[in-house]
Amino acid sequence: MDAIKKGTIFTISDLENVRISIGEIVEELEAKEWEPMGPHPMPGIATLRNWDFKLLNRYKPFYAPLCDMCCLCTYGKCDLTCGKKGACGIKIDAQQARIVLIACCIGTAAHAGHARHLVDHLIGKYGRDFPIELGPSIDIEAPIIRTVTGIRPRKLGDLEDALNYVEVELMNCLSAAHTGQEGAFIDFESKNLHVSMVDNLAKEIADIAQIVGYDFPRGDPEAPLVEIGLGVVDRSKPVILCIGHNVMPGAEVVNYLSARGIGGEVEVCGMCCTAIDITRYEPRAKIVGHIAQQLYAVRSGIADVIVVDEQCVRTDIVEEAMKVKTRVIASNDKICYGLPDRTDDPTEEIITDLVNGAPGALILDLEKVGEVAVEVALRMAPKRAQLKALPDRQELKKLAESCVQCDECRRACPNDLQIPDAMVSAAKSNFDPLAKLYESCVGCARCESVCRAELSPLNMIKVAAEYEIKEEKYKLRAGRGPVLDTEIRNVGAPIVFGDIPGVVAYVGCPNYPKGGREVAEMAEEFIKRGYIVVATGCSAMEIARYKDEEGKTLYEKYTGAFERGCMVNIGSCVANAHVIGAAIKIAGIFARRKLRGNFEEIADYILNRVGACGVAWGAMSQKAASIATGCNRWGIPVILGPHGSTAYRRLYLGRKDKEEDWYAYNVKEGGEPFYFGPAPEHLIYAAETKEEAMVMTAKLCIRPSDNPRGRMIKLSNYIDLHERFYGRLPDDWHLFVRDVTELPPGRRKELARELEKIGWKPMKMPPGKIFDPTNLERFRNGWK
Amino acid sequence: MVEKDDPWEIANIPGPRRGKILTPVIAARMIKEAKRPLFIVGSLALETELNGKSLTEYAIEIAKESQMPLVAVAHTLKAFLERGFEPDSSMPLINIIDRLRDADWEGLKGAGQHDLVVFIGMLYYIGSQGLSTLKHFAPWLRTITLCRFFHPNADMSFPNMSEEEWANYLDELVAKLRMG
Ligand code: SF4
Ligand code: SF4
Ligand code: SF4
Repeated sequence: MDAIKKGTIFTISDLENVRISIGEIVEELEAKEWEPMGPHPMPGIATLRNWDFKLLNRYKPFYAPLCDMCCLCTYGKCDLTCGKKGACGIKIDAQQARIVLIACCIGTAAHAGHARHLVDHLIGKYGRDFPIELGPSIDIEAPIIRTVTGIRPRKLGDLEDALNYVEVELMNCLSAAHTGQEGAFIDFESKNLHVSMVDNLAKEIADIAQIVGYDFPRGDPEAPLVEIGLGVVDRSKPVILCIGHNVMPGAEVVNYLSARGIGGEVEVCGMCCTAIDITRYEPRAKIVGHIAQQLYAVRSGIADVIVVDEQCVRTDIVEEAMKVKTRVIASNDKICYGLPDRTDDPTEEIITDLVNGAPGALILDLEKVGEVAVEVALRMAPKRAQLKALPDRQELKKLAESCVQCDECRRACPNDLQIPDAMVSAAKSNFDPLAKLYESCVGCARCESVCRAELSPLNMIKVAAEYEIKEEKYKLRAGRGPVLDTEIRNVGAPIVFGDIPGVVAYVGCPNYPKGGREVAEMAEEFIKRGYIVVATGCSAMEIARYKDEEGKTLYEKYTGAFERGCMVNIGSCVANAHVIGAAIKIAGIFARRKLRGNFEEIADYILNRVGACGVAWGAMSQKAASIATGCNRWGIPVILGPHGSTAYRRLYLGRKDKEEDWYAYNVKEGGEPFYFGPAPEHLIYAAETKEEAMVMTAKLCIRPSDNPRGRMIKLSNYIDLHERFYGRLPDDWHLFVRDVTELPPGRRKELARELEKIGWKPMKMPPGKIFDPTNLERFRNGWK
Repeated sequence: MVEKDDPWEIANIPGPRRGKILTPVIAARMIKEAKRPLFIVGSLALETELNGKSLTEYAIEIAKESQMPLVAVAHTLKAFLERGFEPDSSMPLINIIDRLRDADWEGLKGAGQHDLVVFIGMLYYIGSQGLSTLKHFAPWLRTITLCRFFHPNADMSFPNMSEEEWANYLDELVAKLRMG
C-alpha cells in the first residue's frame, strides 16, 4: 500500500460520517513524540508585538540620523530635520527605524538567499528525505527552528518548510517599508526585531544544511587547526582564491582536485566566510583573511583565479583582478558583475578563452566552476609567475615626494588615518609610519579615489608593510558548528546562576576603529577571567591574527570546548545562529522549558537568566545589523564599536536611573512586581574605546537570576575592569549589589563602607535568595 | 584643500541645516551666558598633545575657568584623576547623549535639563552622530564643539585647522573665560 501522506482526508467505505484526517493524527503523534505545540508557532509580523513593546519600553530606541533627508520616493528629497515631516507624513524617528528595517531586511535576505541556494542544491542532490543527523551529542538539532516555527527538522525537506516561512515573513517586513505603510517608529522597530529573528532562523537553516550536506564538523571541540594569514599561501603553486560566503563553488574546486588526484598541487584558499566554510570541508584549504584584506590580497596578485560566490565581495573585483591578470569566475546569480554567461558553453572553450585573456565568466553550474577554476589556474600560473603587481620600496620614496599634502585621503579615510604625515616621512625614506597604518587600515581604498596626486596610499601602505604581511602566518581552529547538548548540561547551571560569569561572543565584520588586535585583546581578557568566549566570521579570523610571545594564537592556547575559559570558533556568519542556539538550549536542556513554538517564554528566559553578550566591534554590513537585532529580540545584548554608532543609526538603550523601568515579576515571590535592578542595562549599545567596551561587556553579562555567589563573581569582574581602566569604582556598582553577601570577599569591609557612605539599602531578598524573574504577566503566579 | 567649514569627513553631509563656525570669543560668550552648560570630554583627550600639553589639561583648564560640570566619557576618567581633577561624572558618550535628549532629565546637577553642551576630544564619527541625535531630538539644547575639525551637526563648531591654530584657539578660549 502506498504511504498515506500527512494532510490526506479519506472516508472508509460503509462507515458513513467517519472522516479521518491523517494530518491531525501525524501532528498529535509528533506532539507526543517530542513536545506539545507552544502558543506562537510561525509567528506573523505582529504576533510577538507585545514582547517587542516590553523590550522597547525598557530599552528605548535611540536614533542618530546619518542623513537628515529621505529620497525613497519621487516626492523627495524631503527634509526631515528637527521635526519636519516628509511629504508622506513620516518623521525623522520613524524614518530612521525604517532605514534600519530596510537594512535588516537586506541582511535577512542575504542569509535567506544563501540558505535557499544551499537547501535547493542539496535537495536536488540528495533528495528531501536526506536525514539531518548532527551526531550522538546533539538531540536539539535546531533550537531556533524548533522554537520559532514548531518544526523539528529531521530531513532536508523540513528545512525547506522552515525556509518558506522565512521568505513570507521577510516579504511582509520589507513591504512595511514602502511609502505610506508603517508610520510609527515603535512599530518599525517591532518589525526590525521580527525580521531579524527570522534572519536567525535563515542562518540556522543554512548552517545545518551545509553541515549535513558537506559533512562539516558537528560541534567538534577539537576541530582541526587550519592556516590563516596573508603569508600562508604557497605561491609556487597555482592559486585559486574563493571569496564570499557560500561554500558550494569552493567545495566543487576541492572535489575536482581530488577527483583528478592533484589535491596537493593547487593552493585552494579563501577570504571571508567562504574561507571558514571551505576549511570546515577541507582542512588543508587556507584562509587568507577577511574583507578588509581583500584588496591587499587581490592586488598582490597571488591568485591565478578568483571564484566569487556571494556577500561581502568587492564590487570592483573584476576590474581589480584584471590589473593583475587574475581571472574571475562568478558562480552565483546574485552577483554576475556584467560577465558573459558561459554556463552552457563547452568547458574547454571557457577554459581556453579565460587563459587567452577573457577577464572572467559567469558559470551557474557548480561542478563546471570547479573544473574551470582548476584548469585555468593550472595553465595561468606559469604565465603569471613573473608578474610585478606593485611598486617596490625604491619607487615608494619617489611616489611619496609627489604628495601635495592636501589631506583629502585622511578626510576620506574611515579611520582618519594620518596618511599625509606618513607621506612626508616616506619622502625622506622612512617607511615606518606608512607601514604602521597597515594595522588600522580597513582596505577600503577611499584614499586613492580622492588623491589629487593620483597616488594609491593603500598600495603604498602595502609595500611599506611588506615584511609584516609576509609574516602573517597563524592558526585558527576550524569552525566547529553547534554547541553540544552535553556541553550545555555541564555549563547550563553555572551560567544561569552566574558561577560562569558570562558568555561573550565576538561576532561580525572587520570595520575596526584601531585594527583587529583589540578584538583578540578583549577576547583573551575574558578567557582569563573564566568567561566562555566564542567567535564567528571575521572576528574569529581576526582573533587568530595575533600571537603571544611564544608564537601561539588564542586557538592554540585555549580549549575549543564550550566551557569556562575557552576560545571557540563556532564558524562562519551563518553559524552565528548556534550562539543564540546555545542560549536556547540552556532553557531547553537545563531548565527543561518547552521550546516548540514558544519564542516569548524562551526569550524571556534568556533575557533574565543567560548572561550572554555579543560584541560586534567592527560591525559593517546589513547582515551584521540583522544579526545584532535578532540577538536583541532573544534578550541578548550587543555592543558595537564606534563605527556601529555611525552606520546603524539606532541603538536600544536602558536608563538605569529610572527605577520604574527595572521591575519584573518574581514568580517565587507570588508574582508581585519586583525591582531586579538594571540588568542587562542595554540591548544594543556603541562603545567609543576598547576599554569602555570591556567594562560594558562585564556589566552586560549581569542578569536578574544570578545567585548571590554568581552575582559576586560578575560584580568582581565589573569592578575590577572598571578600576583598571577608569581608575576607581564605577559610580553605579551599588545598583548591582542586592545583599552584602554579594560583595567580593577580599574587599567586603571596604566596599561595605562605600555602600554605607551612599546610603545603600539591601534589596528585599526572595525566600532562599532564589530569584525567579519573568517579564511575562501570564507567568507571574507560576510557571505553567 | 579643505575649507574651514567643510565637514572634516568628506562625505559627512547631513542635510540642509548645518552648523556655523565658532570662534573662541563666541564660545566663551555662549558658555558664560548659558544657564546650565555641560562640558563633555571624549576619548581623543587621552592621545592628543598640543605643544607638549595634553588635551586633558586643556579640558581641565576650560572646566575650571568656566565652572562647567564636566563629563568624562569613554575611559577618560582615569586621565583626569591622575591629574588630580575630579570630573562631575564619568559615563559613556552614548549614555550622556541619551539623557540630554530626554526633556524630563534633571541634568547632571539635578537642577534641570542643560541648555548648552560643549564637546571636545570626540572621535569624529561617533561625535558627529551624537550631535545629530541632539540636533534632531533635543531642540532646547545648543551644541558647540571645540574639536579641531568642523562638525556640521553641531550648532557651532571650531573650523578645520592645524594643530598649532587649534592650540591658539584653546589658549584664547581659556583666556577669555578667565577674564570673566
Ligand atoms: S518616502 Fe516619504 S519622506 Fe521619503 S521621499 Fe517619499 S514622501 Fe518624502
Ligand atoms: S584603504 Fe586604508 S588608508 Fe585608505 S582610506 Fe581605507 S582605511 Fe584609510
Ligand atoms: S590625497 Fe594624495 S596628495 Fe593629498 S595628502 Fe593624501 S596622499 Fe597626499
